[in-house]
Amino acid sequence: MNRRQWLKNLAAAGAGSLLQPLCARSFATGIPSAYFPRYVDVAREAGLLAKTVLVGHESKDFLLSTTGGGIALFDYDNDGWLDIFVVNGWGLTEFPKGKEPTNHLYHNNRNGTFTDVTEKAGLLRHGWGQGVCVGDYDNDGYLDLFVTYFGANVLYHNNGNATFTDVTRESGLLQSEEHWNTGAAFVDYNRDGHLDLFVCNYVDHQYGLLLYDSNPALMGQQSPVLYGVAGLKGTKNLLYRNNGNGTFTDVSDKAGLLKAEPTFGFTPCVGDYDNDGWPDIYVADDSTPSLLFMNNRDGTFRESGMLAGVAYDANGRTQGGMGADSADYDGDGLLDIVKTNFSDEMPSLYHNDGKGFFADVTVPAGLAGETSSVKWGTGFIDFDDDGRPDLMIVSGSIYSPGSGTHHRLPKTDSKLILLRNLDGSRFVNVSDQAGPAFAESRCSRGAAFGDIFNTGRIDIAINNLNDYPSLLRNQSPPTNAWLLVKLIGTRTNRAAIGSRVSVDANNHRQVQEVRSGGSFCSQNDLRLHFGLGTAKDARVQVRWLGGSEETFEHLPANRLVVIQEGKGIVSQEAF
Amino acid sequence: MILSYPAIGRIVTVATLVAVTICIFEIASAASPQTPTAQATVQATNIQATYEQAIELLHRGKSADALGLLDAAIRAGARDPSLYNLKGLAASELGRNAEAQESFRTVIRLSPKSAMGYNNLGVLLSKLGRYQDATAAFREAHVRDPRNFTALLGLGTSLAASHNYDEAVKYLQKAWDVRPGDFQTGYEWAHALLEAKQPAVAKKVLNQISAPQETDSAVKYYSLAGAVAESLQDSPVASQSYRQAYALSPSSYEIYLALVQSSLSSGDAPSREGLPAPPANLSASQNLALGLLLLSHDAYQQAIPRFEQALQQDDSNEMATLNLALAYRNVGKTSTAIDLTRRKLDTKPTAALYNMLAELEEGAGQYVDAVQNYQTAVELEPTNENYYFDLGMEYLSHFTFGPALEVYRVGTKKFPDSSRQYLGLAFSHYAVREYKEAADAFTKALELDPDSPAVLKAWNTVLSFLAPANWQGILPRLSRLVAAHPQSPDLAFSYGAALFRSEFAKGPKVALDRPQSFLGKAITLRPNFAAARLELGALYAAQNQNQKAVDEYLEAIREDTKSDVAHYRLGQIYRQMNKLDLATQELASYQELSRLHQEEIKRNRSAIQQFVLSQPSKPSN
Repeated sequence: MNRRQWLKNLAAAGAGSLLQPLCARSFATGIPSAYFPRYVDVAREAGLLAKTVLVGHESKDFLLSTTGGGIALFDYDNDGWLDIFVVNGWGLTEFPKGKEPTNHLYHNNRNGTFTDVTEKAGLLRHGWGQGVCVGDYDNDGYLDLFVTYFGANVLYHNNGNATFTDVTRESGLLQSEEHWNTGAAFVDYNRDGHLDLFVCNYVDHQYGLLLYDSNPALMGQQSPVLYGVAGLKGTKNLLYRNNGNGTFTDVSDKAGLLKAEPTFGFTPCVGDYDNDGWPDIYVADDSTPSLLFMNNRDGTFRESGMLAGVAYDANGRTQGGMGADSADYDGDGLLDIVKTNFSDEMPSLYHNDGKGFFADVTVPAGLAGETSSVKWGTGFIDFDDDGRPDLMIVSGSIYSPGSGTHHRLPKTDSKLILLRNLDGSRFVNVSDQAGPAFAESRCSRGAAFGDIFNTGRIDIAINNLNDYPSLLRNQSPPTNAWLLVKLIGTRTNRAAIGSRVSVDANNHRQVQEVRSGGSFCSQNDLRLHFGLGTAKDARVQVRWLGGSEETFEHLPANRLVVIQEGKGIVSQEAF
Repeated sequence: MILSYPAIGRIVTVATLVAVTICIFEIASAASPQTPTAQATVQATNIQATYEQAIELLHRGKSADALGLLDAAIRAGARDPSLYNLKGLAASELGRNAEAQESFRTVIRLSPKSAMGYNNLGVLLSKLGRYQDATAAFREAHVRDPRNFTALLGLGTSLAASHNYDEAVKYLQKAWDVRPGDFQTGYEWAHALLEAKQPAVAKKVLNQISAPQETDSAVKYYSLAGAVAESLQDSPVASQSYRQAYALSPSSYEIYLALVQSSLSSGDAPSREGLPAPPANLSASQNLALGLLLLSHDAYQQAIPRFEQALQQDDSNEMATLNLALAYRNVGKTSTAIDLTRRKLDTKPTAALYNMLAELEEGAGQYVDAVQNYQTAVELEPTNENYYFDLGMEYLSHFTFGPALEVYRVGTKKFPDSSRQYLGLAFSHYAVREYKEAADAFTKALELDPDSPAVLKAWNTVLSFLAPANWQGILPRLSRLVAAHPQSPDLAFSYGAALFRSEFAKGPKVALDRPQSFLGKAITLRPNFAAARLELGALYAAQNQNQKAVDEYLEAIREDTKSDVAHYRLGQIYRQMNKLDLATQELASYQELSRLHQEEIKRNRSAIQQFVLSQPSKPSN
């Protein structure tokens, strides 16, 4: 008799009222078969020593001081190990010469430590950094970097020698007017083999430095106050088409993006939501309807978020959408969506019912209790490798500790949230059993997920405001099998972004896509991690964005498999 | 806010001003002495002479002489009822009521088949305010002479005086049939009809008589016409009638009050602005009452002189000060209002004045001063729950949540039976995101006042924020409330909705029979309960009973056409049912309603101003 049957019998025997507490306790105390990760923050020991800085005026807080914080995991030097790029902010203050905040690139030393190579890589830059995404826009085999700013965005070309060059102007991406750019994603929306670029914008640029909260120095006086973004001027999303020659053209209007009403956009999450083989784009918007741009397969999109059921909560209320991720959490072959929202709001879990239509299943899926603090970065990660994607959410109050004036934060605020996928329909919070990193309260924003230490387990990098980054390493040995898949496109864009991998193991199918951007203004490992449970091997099917399909039978578990379009498996490495 | 003044009571309607009309005594047709027999011719001749002499004396107002004459004749052996009847009249005129009553009873004994004795006894008893006894006498008269006008009028009038209006109407109508066009009968009939809640019929009766020349009767007529029109909610006609009555009786404070009431209710500018001057020499309390009446109809400009005069007559009248300040504020003279209140505070600092000053300062944008004065009001009168509530609301309305929480913590301890103190506490907890505590306080408010629409509406906010884990503490309390108030649709809804939210959060396949039964009960008890329909629709949708969900959502929309949520949910269900045209249509409706809703929120938000309180200066080292 398994645990579920035992509980069912217990309920039938008249102990129904005990059912819920018992369910919770069975995970809380740990049944021998239940796996719990042990996430430990190793950032300082690993050498992530630069704080992310977002400083308002000495006595005032601004809307701009509440956003930003993207973070990226990518292998910039193709050494097979994930490096870390941390987006930094700026401040309305004088910084000492040479101490100005800058973005940071940390090179993975392959021994659990990192080296700050920012300057050496040519990535020193000051400004109000917001988000980041990665893609090989020129298909040269090296991942390029796109960083968004409150101001003007920057495209860094990877020179292939561990350095980058700012090619924003040459590529045609230099913005003539200042914008409040936020999340971004490379996407080959027209499937021509060249990665295009989608960029979200938040509030109109003029509002970035608007007074956001009362000033403690104004004690005894009256002061105006702005709460939230409601009433401010919204913005539209931008789409740049890759001309195939290293330059981009703004096709936002031509592609139909400007038909959508202005919103307060944060994070794009690209995926083929109607299984037609073409990438669609979901955008998590703050205080405005989130958008779903469905690909018309002719170079244009139609916005259908409301009809699709992913624009609002179940009652049609707009939410403070921040981050988003998509995965097939219930194994039906369709990409479902999770969206993180503001404090006092549940995260949104939208189940894909097919044909690009979704149902809000947040409450019955067990996410209704996750209302604490503001939730930002998120990702479906299979931390226990049981083949069912679990869910991770990072949170952080509007203000980092010590700033802000009128926000009494409960002790539970700004903690990491880990939810175990029980059976493909229910999640349960296991944060308290997920290791010491989950006991800490930080003001987190972006989060990036990937196998940073090449252990077969998902690690997490988090950007924290006015604080050091977190680097969560899962120190609990795996009990289940796994598979890590890296795709290399040939006809498809080289990074294979938009390609889909289906894995069958133990009569259970999983689907993932290679994705640029997502979480909250961040970039996850482009390699796809699949938990295989007790399976020894798996069947892997690749649907390249270019249209071709390849299938690989009986791939052994517990290894990284590199598959190149048209060439099959080009390398394997067991960890 | 209008401050009540207990002395004013209900505005006096003219119906209550009109005293019961007393029928005149009968002496005419039944007054002559009885026809003498042959043996008594001489005596009869004397009786006749005595009768005529007594009548003459009575007509000349010499009632005592008439009574002496009649007594002498009676002592001489005359046993004629007409003499006893005249004796009763004379005694009544002299106020010797017991003697008069006895005389009329003798008339009845001597002439038991005649209505006269009963009628005159009835009139006397009516005069004495003994309406039930009078009614009995008139009934006897009516039995003996069913078409006797005095009996019918007296019976109707005395029954009306005993508040037996329905029966009174019958006899007064018969009296009218006997003597159509008679003013007194028509007036009494119309009056009884008005009291019997038949104002339309009363109006018809009044239309059959006209105002007499005699002033007092004309005043009565116009006053009654005004009351009838008021009852028919025809304020312009009421105003016109009272205006005519007041023109004939310009010193009547009561008629002026009725005139003001009807004129202000009529809503048309000429009636409101063309009010005649009030009676001269009104007392301070009358000026105050009149001012309050004007204030209650937003006639601030007209109210101001009344309050000013009341204050001139009684400088210490705090009620007049408070309401004058309100009137000033409402005509845009906030600084004058603040000056007045501060001046009065200089001479007599009271909690009410500080509270008023705070309210005025709040309106003038002087938030910090306002909160300090709200605080002072609380300190001066810590037993007054209103001041605690106002102070807390001041903090809450300016997003100053910490102090608000503290105020209501104290408020709930000091006034543990006050549901609104708990509401304030609940909103304060909610504002600082202490949701479990907020839900507890909301529920406590509900327990204290389960019938209050405001409390029920506030409690329903719990549904939108309470995490599933926190329902366990609330559900048993709601269950007890529902059991104690089984006929309350609101409580059935609250419990049903809470059960649904709690159960549904446990998973997609839980049984929802219990919440369904309570939501169904709420709808049975109140079929047009839109929120319950909406919730039941969501419950059906959760169970994939899509058509049932559609039906409930449609009902919810029918009952609440502005429900954007209902349109959204209906659109989503239609989409799930692959009825995309209907889905698109509903979602378009949702968008439009939602847009209006958002605009309202923006307007409200833009009005928010925040302040923080001064902290005591730190001593310098």
